[in-house]
This record gives sequence, structure tokens and C-alpha cells, in this order.
Amino acid sequence: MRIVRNEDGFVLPFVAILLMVLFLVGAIILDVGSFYLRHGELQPLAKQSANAGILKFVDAMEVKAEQNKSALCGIEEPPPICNSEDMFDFLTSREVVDLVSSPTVQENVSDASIAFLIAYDPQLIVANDNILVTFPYEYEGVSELQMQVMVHDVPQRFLSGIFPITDDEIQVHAISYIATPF
Amino acid sequence: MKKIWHDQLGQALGETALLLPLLFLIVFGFLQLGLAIADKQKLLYVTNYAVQVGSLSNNDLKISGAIEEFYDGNDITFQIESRDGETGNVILNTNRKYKDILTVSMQKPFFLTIPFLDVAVNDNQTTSSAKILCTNLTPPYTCE
Repeated sequence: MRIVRNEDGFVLPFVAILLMVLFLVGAIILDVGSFYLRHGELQPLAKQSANAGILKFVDAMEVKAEQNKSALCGIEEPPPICNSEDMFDFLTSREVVDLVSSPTVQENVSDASIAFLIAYDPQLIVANDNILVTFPYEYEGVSELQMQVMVHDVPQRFLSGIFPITDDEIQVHAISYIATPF
Repeated sequence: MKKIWHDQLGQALGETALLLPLLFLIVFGFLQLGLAIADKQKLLYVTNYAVQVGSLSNNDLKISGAIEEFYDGNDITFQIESRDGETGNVILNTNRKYKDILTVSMQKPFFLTIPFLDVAVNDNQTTSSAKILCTNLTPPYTCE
């Protein structure tokens, strides 16, 4: 009973416990902060990589349109449409659908998107396994040509392995599309 | 001597005096940490915004204008870098056109919030990149 009432030397354990609690709070601040910062980096990066992928598809359409234009306009008196700079004047909807379905084009689009993500990640830590590219991507019946990029990443954490609450991984997704006249 | 050593009068005051500076330092440190994270979050947002503006306009003046919408002080430094869309090689900003890559990097020193004392402890840095979507293929390759 006397031992319990004896207050000698209670400050040291009290301060030790208090400091541990305070540093825990600090670690949570850092963890949550780095989580949101990484999310803030990855979200626009995913969007821009989707744009990079869809631009690769534009490349494929431009090549096809150029071929069609050469075939159509390489004569002595070409039709007036040959003055057009709009590639869609030289493409049919069928050809666009064929390009979308082409495995080579799909692979090129996917590769361009992934390459952009890996090369321009500010922290250079996103790997191939963290990226999922879906092209063509159908979303709520919208007819435009769409692609989706999903990226997941685990930010650096101080409390890793101690508290599952900070064990969440970041997952962002972005969609990019081309509106065609068809 | 023994009596003085065991005298507990004013003990709490003494211990509080010892601990208060430490507690103040820790709490103040957390506050600074939070402010630094918020500062970097804002810098990141502005960098992404500037890149988006640059991607659509391909105009360096519009990029710096977008940054000045948020920061008008002298503390901010930023660089605009351009790369060829196919090869990835660095090119002149004036030669940047449709499908090339624009990168904006920003730095802003973080000052401790201590009254009457401006101490810069760290440079917050952010980087963001995008493909140019402005389709103007005639020099200076910019869009409105």
C-alpha cells in the first residue's frame, strides 16, 4: 500500500509514456500527410498518362488517314475533300473500330501510357505491376473512344506494420477519351 | 541535508518548468510539420494546374501567369522543361509543339512560423509533366 502511494520517481515513467504518445501523434501526421501528398502526385499523373496513351491512338488514326488520303488524292484531279486537314474526313467509322480492335494498336497505346507514368513519376517509384491500362474502356455506354489508367502505390509510412489503419494503399484512376464525329 | 532532499514543496512547479519547454517544442514541431505538409500540398496543386494550362495552351507566359494566380511573391522559383514526344530528348521551349512533353518544377522555401524570425528550413519541391495537347502546328505552336 505504501509503495502505491509513494510518488517518488513517477515523473520519469510519466514523461516516457507522454513522449511516446506525442511521437505517435507526430508519426500519424507524417503518414497521413505523405499519403495525401502522394495521392496529389499520382492523380494528375494518371490523367496525363491516359492522355499520352490516347495520343498514341491518335497517331495510329493519323497514319491510317494519311494512307487513305494518299490513295484518294494521288491523282491528277483530286476531289475537293483533299484540301481538308481533318483526318476524320479520310477515315470511316469501320476503320476506327478496326484500329481500336487491333492488338498491336492496343499494345502501343498501353505501352505509351505506362512509359509516361514510369518516366514522369516525380518519385520514380511506380512500377509496371502497379499500373493497369484498359483500352478500349467502356463507361456507362458512352460511345467515345476511351481508355482508363489505374495506378496503385503504397506511400512510405512511419507506422508501417504497427497500425493497420495506415496500411491503405493509394489507388487512383483516370479516363481519357477522343470524341469522334462518327 | 536529508530533510531538504525529501522536501516536496514546489516539486510540481519545478517539474513543470522542466517539461514545459520540451512539450512546447514538440507541439510546436507538429504544428510546423502540418504547415509544411499543407504548404507542399498547395505547391503540388499549383504545379499540376500550371502544367494543365501549359498542356492546353503551350504558352510559357500562360504557365507563369497560372503560377502567379496563386503566388505573387519572390519566394517561388520554377523551371519549364520541354522534351521531344518521341525521343524524350530535351528540346528548346520555343520548339515545343503538339505531343511533346512539358515538365514544370517548382521550389518554395518553407519558413518556420516564429514571430519576428524568418527561418527557412527546407525547400518544398514539386514536379509535374504532361503531353502538349495544343494542336497548332505552325510556329510559335501556341493555342489561345
